[in-house]
This record gives sequence, structure tokens and C-alpha cells, in this order.
Amino acid sequence: MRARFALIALAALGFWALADLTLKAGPSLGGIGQAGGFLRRAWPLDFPPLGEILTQVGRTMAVVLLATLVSVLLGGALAVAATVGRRFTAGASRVALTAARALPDVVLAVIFIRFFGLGALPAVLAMGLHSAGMVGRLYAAAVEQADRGPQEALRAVGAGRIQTFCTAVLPQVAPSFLSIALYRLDINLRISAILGYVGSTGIGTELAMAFGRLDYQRGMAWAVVLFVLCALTEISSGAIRRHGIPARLCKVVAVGGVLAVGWAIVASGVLEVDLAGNWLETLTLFWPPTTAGAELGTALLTTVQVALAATALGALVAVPLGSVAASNVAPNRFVYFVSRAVVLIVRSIPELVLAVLFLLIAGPGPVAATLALAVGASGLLGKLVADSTEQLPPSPALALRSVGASRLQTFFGATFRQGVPDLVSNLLYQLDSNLRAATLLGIVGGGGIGLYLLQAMRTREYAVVTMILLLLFAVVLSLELLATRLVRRIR
Amino acid sequence: MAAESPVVSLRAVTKMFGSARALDEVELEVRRGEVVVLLGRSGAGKSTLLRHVAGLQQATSGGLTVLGTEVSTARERELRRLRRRIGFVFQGFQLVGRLSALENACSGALGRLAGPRLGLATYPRAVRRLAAEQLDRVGLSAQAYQRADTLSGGEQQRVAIARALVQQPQILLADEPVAALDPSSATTVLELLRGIAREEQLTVICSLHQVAPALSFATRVVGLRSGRVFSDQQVSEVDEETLARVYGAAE
Repeated sequence: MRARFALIALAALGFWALADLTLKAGPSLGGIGQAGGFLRRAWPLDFPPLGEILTQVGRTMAVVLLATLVSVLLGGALAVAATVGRRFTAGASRVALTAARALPDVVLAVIFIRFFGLGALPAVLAMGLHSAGMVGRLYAAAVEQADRGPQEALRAVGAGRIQTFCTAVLPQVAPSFLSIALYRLDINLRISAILGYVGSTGIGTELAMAFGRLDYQRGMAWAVVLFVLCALTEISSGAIRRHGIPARLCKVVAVGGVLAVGWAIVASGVLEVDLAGNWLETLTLFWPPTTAGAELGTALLTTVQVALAATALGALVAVPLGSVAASNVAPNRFVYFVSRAVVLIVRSIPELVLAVLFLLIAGPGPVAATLALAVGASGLLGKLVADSTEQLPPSPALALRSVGASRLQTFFGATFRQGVPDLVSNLLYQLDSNLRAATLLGIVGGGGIGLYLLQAMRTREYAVVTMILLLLFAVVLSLELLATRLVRRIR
Repeated sequence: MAAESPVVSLRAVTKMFGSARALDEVELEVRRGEVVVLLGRSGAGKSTLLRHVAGLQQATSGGLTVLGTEVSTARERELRRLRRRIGFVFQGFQLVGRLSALENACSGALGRLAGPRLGLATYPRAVRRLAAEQLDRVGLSAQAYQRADTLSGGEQQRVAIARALVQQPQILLADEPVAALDPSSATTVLELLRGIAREEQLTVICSLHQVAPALSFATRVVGLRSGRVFSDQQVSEVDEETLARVYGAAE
């Protein structure tokens, strides 16, 4: 009952946001004609020389690898402290993990750029700090789910907390630690492309520069490169996550990993730091926070609306699509495989590529950002819906089938009803991720608070950057607290 | 010769779980070299009693002295030092499944080693040699490098015994060590435990719930019922009537 109410409330909010955004955008909405014109200007794609592509791919992957490494080290340390530590240490670590998750990566990047100059280091630190929160939380969950038996046995041997963790817990959770790190690597790759717009290095920067000089042929070529890179990374990390690393290759992989990190440190250029000026003086630029007359409240509302509307629109596609992509609902193997394939492909298109497409088709503004995020959301949400539907207990559906209900009657009478609490928690997760993405897309041209962030960076009004940081932190944190409460209540 | 003080002594130990009385004023003294079998139905308090002796659980009230340490007032550091000298064999083996049998055996030495260990190579050579010897003793030298979760139940329990022996303990506690095993593995494991207890002059406290193996294994049989010591007899004096009442219907 509560779950259904939450679902209706989310839908109502989503469509209110959508109506409000389209109303404000008015008739300036581009439409099909503009889309045709854009395609003519972008065709044929103008790929840079292979050497150039490889250099940029290398730089991008190097930054992403280092950022993920930072998040694994930092998040891992906090997760261990949160699970193994005594009461105070554990509590403080949990707070740090939640705070890190709520830190908006792109705002961090802007701040770090002021300290370290343009380049790889700000991106590595910003993504690393932000993703440490997520990685750490998932790591802590994995530790908590580990079998307690061996831990008790080692306690009985007289081993200390750290010894017990290393011998009894770490071997158990190592596979899920690896899989979580790879999952985060996929996400960081997408984010790093957008960070290119604020002055990181790699494919995102090339893409931003090409579009900046209206060179759509080159820009779209880079977008294709980014899409292929994301798809390849996702396929290979997915394969490792599913099958693990064969024991006989472990040593090779370990050595390869160390070499890769060494290469990444050199190739990303994190060491080329430009320590601009006096840090104390720089710090005073950021304080006290101010809005400097900008209507940050309205902008923040727009960003929240984009996230809400995109989640609702995405759900419209994702719920039916994800349902038939669940093996216990799909009417036949063909529908199952096709819908799974659609979900997979949509999910592997990076948000930046979608945003660029929709911005060019629909013109800059929140509507384009909403559409881009909605497409992305239908992919991710579709997968979440499919996976959670497959986890539902089968007995109620079987009972309805046995009294002669049709497939459709069974779905609406049992399966869908059972799935509502899962759906609400998946929608909240999607909303959370859309809120971050909506901020990022603002920088690319999607309006909202991201636009003001870019302006503040260009006009060097760093006190405004601090204000935006605080506002976003507060919104993300309250959404997270609300979501945690809600999910606990409807279960 | 003056009587040696007991290795384990429980004085009116009571343990409450909420309002349930898991141990009810238990009095028990165990001397060096005794092999005590605790008999009783499930829920009689056997596991709880063993966990208290190992310092894994704290009593609600009463006094408990183990190897000269007063457990009820000991700090965590003292408890760790005490646990080091007590081997514990669990019903569910409680091995680290993804590690080799040898590394599981080595982990028995963690209590006397400083700092964490990551991988077999990080244990001192002496520990590895000792662990290999103990695996040999339980008849598993051929499986030393096999992952623990690929071994059979009986083999896993023997690895767990090797781990306890690597501790070089003065007391060996075993909580239903054969309850999860098939009859033939159960016999092997119990014979192994009995042989080790004799060779090492170990004090053993072992809970079982079958009578026949208990009588061939123990020097003394303690019957527990509803958290109380119901009977306490040397194995030569055990009579069937008492045992039947240990398992009998509630009075």
C-alpha cells in the first residue's frame, strides 16, 4: 500500500516536472527539421588519424584507471574501518562514505582545477573522491554479507581484528571487490568524458573542442569513438565479473595491473601539476559562499526537474521493456533475447553522446538534457526491472496460472504487484543517479545548475562554486536520506 | 602430591539470552588431561558452555576461570592471549573456503604472530612447516594445496583440527565436531581426536549427541539438560539409566 502510494507520488512529480519544463521551453523546441539539418552537417564523420585516436583513448583510460584506483583505496580503507573498527571509528567512517557519495564530482573537478591547473590530476581526484563513497558502501555491504564462521574461528585462535579481516574476510570478498571496482570503472569512463568539458584531458576534451568550433563531423566522430570505447570496456569488464579470473592467470593479471597503473601515472599526465600560486590565497577565493546575484535556486529546481522528468519518462519505457526482458515474464525466448539486447545496447551509450545528440537536435536547454537522460534511464532502469523481476518468488504467479488466468492477467494480478516495492527502490536509485547526471549535462548545455557552475568557473567567481557545491551536497544528501527511509518502510 | 588446581572452573555461571536461560548456575571443574564429553539434547546449553570457556561469549553472572585467567573480568587483550592457548573445533568447520588447506592450517598461528598475513608466503617458514606436519598427522598431506571448499566434509574437519593443533593449545574444545559428517567420516574424526588427546596429554571438552562414541572417547561424561548440569560421572561409572534421563522427556 505504502509502496503504491510512493510510486504514484513519484509519477506525479515526474510528469509535473516534465510539463513544467516543456512549457517553459515553449515553441523554441527544435523538432525533426533541425534534426535532419544536423545529420547533414555531421555526415560524413571525420575521424582523426589512428595515432591521435589511440593517444586520446590511452589518456582517457589512464585517468579513469587512476580515479578508480583512488576510489578503491580510499573507499576500501573506509569500508574496512566501517565494518571492522570499534564503534566510534565505524560510525565516523560511515558518515565519511555517505558524505563522499554526496560530493558532486564535477564541482570538485572545478575546485581542483583552480588548485592544480588544467589536466588529469583534478579529474582523477574529483572522480576518485566521489566514487570512493559508492565503492566503499558496496565494499562494506560485501564484508557484512561474508560468512561469519571463519571469522569466529580465527577469533577463537586469538587473532586480532585486522588479522581476522585479512585471513578470513578478504579472500571471501576479493571477487566481489574486483567486480565492484570494474563496475565503477565503467561509470567513471562515462563521467570522465563529461569532465573533459571543464578542462580535463582525453576524448571528452577533444569532443568539446570540436563542437565548440562547430566541427560536427569531427565531434560526432569522437562521440562514436567514445561509444565504442564504453561498449568494449563494458563487455570486457562484464565478462570478468561473470567468469572471474582463472586461478592460473592471477599472477599475470596482478603483474599486468601494477604495470598498467605505472603506465597510467605516466600517460595520464597526473604528474604534470601546475601548482598555481599561493594555496592559502586561493582558498580565500572560495569563501564565503555567495550566489553573486545568480538565481541558483531556480537553476537547482530546473536540475531537479530534469532528473524527475527523465526518471518518469525512462520508467515509461523501462517498465514494459524490463518486464518482458525478465525470463519469468517473457512470452518466448525470442522476445526475451531481443529485449535484453535492446536494454544492453541502450545502457552502453554514454550519457555524453546522448546529450550531444539531443542538444543538437532539440537545441540547448533542459528539455534536451531530459530526453538524453530519459533514454539512458530506460536502459539502466530496464536492466534493474528485469533483474529484480527475475528474483521474485514464483508461487503467486503459479497460483494465478493454475486458476486459469491469462499471461497478462497473471502479470498484472501477481508479478507486477509483487514487484512494486522493488520498482520504487530502483526508481529512487535512478533518480539519484539522474540528479548527478543532470548536473553534469548542464555543463554540456543542458541548463540548470551545471550552466551556472560553468559560468562561475569562466568568470572565476569561486565563491559561487562553493555555494553550488553546498547546494548540491544538501540536495543529494536529503534525497539519499529520504530514499533510505522510504525503501526501509515499504519493504 | 598436592592436588593440581583445575584447568577450567565454572562457578554458578548463568547466561541469559533475552528471557531465555541458556546456562543456569552451571558448576563444573575440569582437570588437566581429562577428556570430558558433554551430552544433551540440542538447546541444552552445550555450545554456549563451550563458547564461554573459549572466551567467545561473556556470562550474565557467575565466575569462570580458564588456565588461570578470570574470564568474566578479563580485558579483550587478555582474552586474546587466552584464546591462543585454546583450540576450538566447530560443527560447521568454519574454514576459509577460498584458501588452501595448508593456509587454513597456518592461520592457527595468527594469535602468536604480529600483524596481518596475506597469502601463504607471508607466514614464517617455521609455521608453514608446523602446519604441514599437522596436516600430515590428520592424513591430508596430499591435499595441502587444495582449496578448502573442494574437500569433503570429513577432510574439512580434519583441516580444522590441524588448524587447532598449529595453535599448540593446552585445551581443545570441540562443539559437535562430527554432527555434520557421515558415520564413517565421523568415526575417523573422533578416533583422530582421541589419539591426539592421548599423545599430547591435552585437556579436551567435546560436545556430542550420540552416546556410543561418547563412551569410547571420554574419561568423563557430563549430561546437560535445560542449561543445568544434570549428571557428572567418570566413564567407568556411567549407567544407562542416567543417560536415558539426560535425553528423556521433560519432567
